[in-house]
Amino acid sequence: MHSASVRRNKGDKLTKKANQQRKVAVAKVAAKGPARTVPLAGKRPARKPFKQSIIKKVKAAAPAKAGKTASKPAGKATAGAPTWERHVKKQDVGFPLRTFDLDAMSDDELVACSKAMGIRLSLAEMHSARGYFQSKGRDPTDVEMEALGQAWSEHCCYKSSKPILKKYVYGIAEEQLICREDAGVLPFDGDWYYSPKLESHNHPSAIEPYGGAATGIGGVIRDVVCMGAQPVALLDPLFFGPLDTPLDKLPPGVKHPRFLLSGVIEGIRDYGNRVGIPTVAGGITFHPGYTGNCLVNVGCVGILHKDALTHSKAGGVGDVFVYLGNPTGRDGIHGVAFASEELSEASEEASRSAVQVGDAILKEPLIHVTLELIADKLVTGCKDFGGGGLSCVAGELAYDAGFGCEIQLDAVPLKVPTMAPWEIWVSESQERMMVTAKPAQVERILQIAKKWDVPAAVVGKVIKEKVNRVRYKGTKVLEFDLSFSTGGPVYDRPMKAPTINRQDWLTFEQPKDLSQTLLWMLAHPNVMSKEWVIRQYDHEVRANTVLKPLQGVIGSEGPGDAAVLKPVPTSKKGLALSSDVNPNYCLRDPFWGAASAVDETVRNLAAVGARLSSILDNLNFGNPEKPERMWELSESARGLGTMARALNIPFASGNISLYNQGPTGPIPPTPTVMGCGILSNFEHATTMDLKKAGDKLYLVGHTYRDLGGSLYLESMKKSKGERVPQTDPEILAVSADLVVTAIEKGLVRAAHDCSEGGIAVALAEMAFAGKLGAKADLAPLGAFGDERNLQPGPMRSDHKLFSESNSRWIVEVPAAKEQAFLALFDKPVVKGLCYPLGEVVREPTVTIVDGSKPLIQVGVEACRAAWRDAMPKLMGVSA
Amino acid sequence: MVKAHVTVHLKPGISDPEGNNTLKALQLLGFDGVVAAHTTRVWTIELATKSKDKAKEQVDAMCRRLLTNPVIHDYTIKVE
Repeated sequence: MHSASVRRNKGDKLTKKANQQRKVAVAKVAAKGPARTVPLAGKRPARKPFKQSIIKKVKAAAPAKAGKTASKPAGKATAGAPTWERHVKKQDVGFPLRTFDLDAMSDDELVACSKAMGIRLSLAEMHSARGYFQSKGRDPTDVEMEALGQAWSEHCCYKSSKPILKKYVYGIAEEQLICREDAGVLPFDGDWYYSPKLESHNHPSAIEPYGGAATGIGGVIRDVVCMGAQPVALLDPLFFGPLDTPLDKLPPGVKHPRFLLSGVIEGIRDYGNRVGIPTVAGGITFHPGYTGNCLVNVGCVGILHKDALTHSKAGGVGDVFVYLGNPTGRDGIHGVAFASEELSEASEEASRSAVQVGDAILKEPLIHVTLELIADKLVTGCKDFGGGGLSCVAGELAYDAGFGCEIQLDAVPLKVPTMAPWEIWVSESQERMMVTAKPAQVERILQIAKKWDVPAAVVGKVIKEKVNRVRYKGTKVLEFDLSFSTGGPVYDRPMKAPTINRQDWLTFEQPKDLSQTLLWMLAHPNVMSKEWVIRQYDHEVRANTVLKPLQGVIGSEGPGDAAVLKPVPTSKKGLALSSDVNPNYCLRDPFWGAASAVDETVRNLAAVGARLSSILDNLNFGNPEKPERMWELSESARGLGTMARALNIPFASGNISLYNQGPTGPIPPTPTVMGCGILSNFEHATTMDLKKAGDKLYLVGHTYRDLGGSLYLESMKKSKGERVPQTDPEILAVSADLVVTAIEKGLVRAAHDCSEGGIAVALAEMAFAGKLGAKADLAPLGAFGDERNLQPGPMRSDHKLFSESNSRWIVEVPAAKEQAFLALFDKPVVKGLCYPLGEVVREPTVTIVDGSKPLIQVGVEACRAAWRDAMPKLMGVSA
Repeated sequence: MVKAHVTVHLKPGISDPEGNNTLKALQLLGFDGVVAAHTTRVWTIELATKSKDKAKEQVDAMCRRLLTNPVIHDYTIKVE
């Protein structure tokens, strides 16, 4: 695409080679194609008798010998040659500009044109573009075609997912939101709001992990900043193929998971640390399904005073657009279009230019400039340059306010002076922000930008007409009715549902040595310590972090459930963050998998003493044009929506990433959920490590036979069967609230949720993090049978031990407070929900029995060693 | 054994913060007449092959896959 774009820059060393190639290509086309007359010459004569000239051109263009109509594939005659190029005219305007005679193109040529340009519009979409320009009586320019490619990409207009989102996740508890634009805004305490955002940077990271992940962080920070918020925390849910994948098992073009993981971690570390925002939470999940297409989800939370709230729309007609930040370069061109198709073997090199090049050192001052402009009330609107670049940001700022915009492309600061207008218009270069302001404020805005050494320029103005008009060196290169370009297509794509057997009970022997199974689980990639990663991130910069990712006795920490921040100096409230999803559940049952992700988020937040305030979803799925993938997306959205509605919790923001499908097939359905919780007082924040010998241990929540997708089944090498954990939002809501109440009343010394590996793993983690032992008896569990799975009789001991039932916590209660704690649960819905499990002991051993039957006896040091050493071993570094 | 020297430099017009800051610092230290400073990166890669052509081909692939970003970098390879 670059060679095509930069042609005709005379005297430009950079593009000489491209020019030469191009000349050859043009010569070829010229030899074949019809005589070319270029009547436009910079001005656009109103070609009113347009229809007739179309017919003429079609006739001229169609191969005469074939004698077929123009809609027939004209390309066939010249087998594979880029015949669509015949219908492209270079304009003699002193800079690179082409027009496309869409009317003259056959369907095959339209498709070939869309493909060769890299705009990835389907035939139907090319047809509607053609219809629009026919109605306008002119041919589109390359700037317009590229802009449409962006505006109508899956990434920008959600054309496949919108119907599903509307059906399941829109409109839930919206009254709790202050607003939802580039990021959500919700009340935190008094005059203070918090603003969270979660998004993905999957495709770029699979191609260029370092730059992809770094710019993902950059993007999500900007979304929060443009609401007027100071970013205070980052979190990163990441998903990779197994680290021990043999090199020779990788398909061509796929990078080794270890390479990708190292690159992504370095990218997040370098960008996050340099920009001075702590990375406090997240997670790394491994599954073979991510080998060909890793996922990098990035979340950010900011804090703002209510007066600073700034909307992502222009203030009024006459406002000017001020461009702030990085000059525009050739990096990140076609990023959104590339994110809207499957990765292939060729993606590695062909799509490098779609990955932006980040510069954290410029981002830091850009944050200051933006927030200072907002604090000084100099701007009327603010929006970051995200996917789609200038093309999207200008149009949306104007359109969302009910106006139009006029942009001068030659005013945009450039990294490379020879960029073609379309490149400037669609580049997704990082570290750029657009504000709208009254003309009188421009001088001060430019002064402030200069003070921080940040480039800035006035690039356009807001106009009354709802039109997007772009000029370059005096020539109009783009003019869209905004309702046309922002009103992208919407597809109701077909779905195909597989049958899910939720009662496929397996029979297998209980292993002889369950202690070994526990140690295997602790060393499992999805459980093992991520200390190797966490220690590379700065999780304390800004000095607001109350609970860190690793918690417990120094030198023996365990995995915390959620991070807690104290973001506002004058408020005692705490902000807790967590993110969750288990692809093993989602793969088997996307509905309950998504519901479980919400459940886990609620209980992670409750475990530290926080009440859920909002959730964010990042829906990572495969190719929506495949009915099975579409069904996964729909079921997951239904699961999320069902839970959110029942819990009455709003989606603060969301993001969708489709076409996550590489040479190794589609990824498992991955509806990542990020939860923001609020602690009434940050001093209540509770860690997961056991604190005192003699304290009592309780299990909150029922244990069912929920083994589908569990670690226990994986340890048995069983990839199918059983049922994934289900959840009852009513019980979840009441029990989470009671856990938090108990924490607030000082009745709980430690709390940890049960997830992968069930009670056994949770208890082992609590013990080694506190350097204490635990004695537990599972006899009280499952005594009433398991009414949900229709299985009569008492549960098997190994099922109780490793079941991954939702809505469960293990809590440590001081003996003296036992009665007060139990009294809390003496009410409807949760009666009988609290099971006595055992006690904390001084001897550093985890002992679990079921009545008279011994199940597990293992030293906490051995547990921690298995957990801690696994990742360094897999990464090939010494512990 | 073949040694390949790879030199990677930024394309003209691409911002070079390291070079720019070096320029600023040199000027502050009073070095008169310094008008520009650019950074380049050099790798020396040793390959267990006898064929220089093959080595060059391999190193070229390395440049495309790892050492450079075609959007911002140019590179040269010398084998000995």
